[in-house]
Amino acid sequence: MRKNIYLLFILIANIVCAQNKELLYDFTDLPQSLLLNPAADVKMNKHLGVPFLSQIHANVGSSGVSIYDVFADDGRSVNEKIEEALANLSSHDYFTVNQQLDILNFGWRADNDIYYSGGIYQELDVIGYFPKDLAVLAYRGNRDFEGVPFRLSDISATAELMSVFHFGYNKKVNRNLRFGARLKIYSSIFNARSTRNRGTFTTIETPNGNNIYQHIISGADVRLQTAGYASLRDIESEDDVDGGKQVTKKFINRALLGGNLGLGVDVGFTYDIEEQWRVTGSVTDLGMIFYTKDVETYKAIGDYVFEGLQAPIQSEEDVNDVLDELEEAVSYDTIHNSYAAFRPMKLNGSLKYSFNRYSSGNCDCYLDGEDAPYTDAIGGQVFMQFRPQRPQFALSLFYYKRLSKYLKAKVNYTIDDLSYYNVGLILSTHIKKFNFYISANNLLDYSNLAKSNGAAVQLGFNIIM
Amino acid sequence: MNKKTIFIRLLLLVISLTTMSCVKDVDFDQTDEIVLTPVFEADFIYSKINTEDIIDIPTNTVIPVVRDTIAFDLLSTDVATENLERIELFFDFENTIERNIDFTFIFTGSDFAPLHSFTVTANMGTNATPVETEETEIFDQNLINTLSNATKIITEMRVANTTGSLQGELEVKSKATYFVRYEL
Repeated sequence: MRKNIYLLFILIANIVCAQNKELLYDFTDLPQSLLLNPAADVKMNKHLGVPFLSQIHANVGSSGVSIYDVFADDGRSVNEKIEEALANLSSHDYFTVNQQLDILNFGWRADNDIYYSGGIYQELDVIGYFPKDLAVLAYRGNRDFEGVPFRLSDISATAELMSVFHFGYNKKVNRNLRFGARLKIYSSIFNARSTRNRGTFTTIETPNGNNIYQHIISGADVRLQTAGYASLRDIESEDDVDGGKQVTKKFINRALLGGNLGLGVDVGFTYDIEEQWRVTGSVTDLGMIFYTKDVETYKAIGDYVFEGLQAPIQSEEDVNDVLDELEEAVSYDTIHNSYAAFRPMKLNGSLKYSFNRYSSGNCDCYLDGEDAPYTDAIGGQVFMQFRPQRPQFALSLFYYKRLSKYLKAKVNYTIDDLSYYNVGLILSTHIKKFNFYISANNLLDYSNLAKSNGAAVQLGFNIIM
Repeated sequence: MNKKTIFIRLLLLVISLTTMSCVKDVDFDQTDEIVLTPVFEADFIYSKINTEDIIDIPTNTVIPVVRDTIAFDLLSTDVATENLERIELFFDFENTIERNIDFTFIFTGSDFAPLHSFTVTANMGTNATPVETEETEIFDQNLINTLSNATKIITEMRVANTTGSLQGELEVKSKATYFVRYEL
């Protein structure tokens, strides 16, 4: 248990970041910007991502509390700090993990100037909201909370592991407007979700009742939907190695369109208001997955009032059994109905002003054939992602600079749920056809990640022509 | 500083930031000190006993013992025995019957062999004014361990064989307070 906690915090400490890829958005020197806006104004003629290495992205974020808040070496009791954190956290605070791995990424410019791109990536997306009421119940019990309802709706979490097959195009519609779209086929490897739960648990004092209290479960409707779990649970193997092989085989099969399938689209635009002003926008992951295979839903629904055991009852045959009564009142079932779920849709937008027009002899900033006339740009970005409880937002200011034809950079300052002082930097090197990029955000917290609620690292290798 | 130098330094900066970032001023050994100490309260038994419940009508005599059995395996799990520090059973009697009434609770295994028992008494009341009696029974960790095999509680109610009136009512309310101590 303790090792797991260490691992969890080490993981948080090393790959914490926001879900938002603000540094990569509209960074058109990289083909990966097409995954955030299919209409990104990329200038390359062809690209090929190095398989499995063209985009490695991982993020873990925790709103409301940092490692330092709980484990600060400040002489105070850890239990006191947990109490404080518990008081500060709300049921809107969340813990999130998002990881993406580009398996294949390619693109080319056709004769009609349309840029086609496609590929396969794997994604893990987990979000769990802090179940405040239940955490308080577990940490402090119910004795000091007479009449206070503990809300079962605080249970809200989703987890998805899947592969995505995608293909898109990017076309200049007229002198000012560029449009792009991408079709996605999702192949879910594993899904679990428990959202929209309802009901309360309350202990009330009853001076005129049968007993001192009534413990009331009211309107309980709690569900956990799973797809891809039941068959894993049923794997019977005598040794771990064999069991692991069976799980891997199933995962690979599901990743290659053998899982629960879904369909989605990304659409976007780039519009040049005038020569130096540009506005962009995109909607990504507008789609849903239909879970029809290997589906199991666990649900508990009902109402129950407990006021103790009536005794003595003048019949020696009668035996009070609270658990039997509870099971009868709040029925627990396992069902196998199919379900569908929306992907967490994301909206991105930006407004950019370019300046410092390039003139030959001034700097050596462009590869032959490039027509970008400016070396610098500033602007703002917005990001929104739909999540089970409420959307997440981020606002960024950025400064883009082409330092040379070998090196492009962008700095972002971002405000989001996790931080009000998130500064990020992306660097992209272009040496002949070989490209390497690396980005990190929340740089101000890197001197001590324990105090950070988020930070990010993303890197990749491409061949760009 | 030439461009190549700037490039190399910037690249090194990002790589070092992302790979050599550190976590400091924290002490993960504090995990050893994390203790959860919630206190849960739950109703235990209740009853409203009228004189009809304790008198054998045909013979008009007091029934010596009224007995009942409650299924009880709350302490049978390791989670309970390892993490329950103390249990307090609180009884609140309101009695208008002019007799002392004893309640005996016998914890038994599935074979009905007694593991532990205790008796609490509702003091005799008066027909006009209810007399309130409060009693608390405490189970410490040793006793909780002893009761890990308990599956039933036999409740026995005895009415004192005195000459007081058998009019009135006895109201029993009770709750259990569970003091948990869970160390990570």
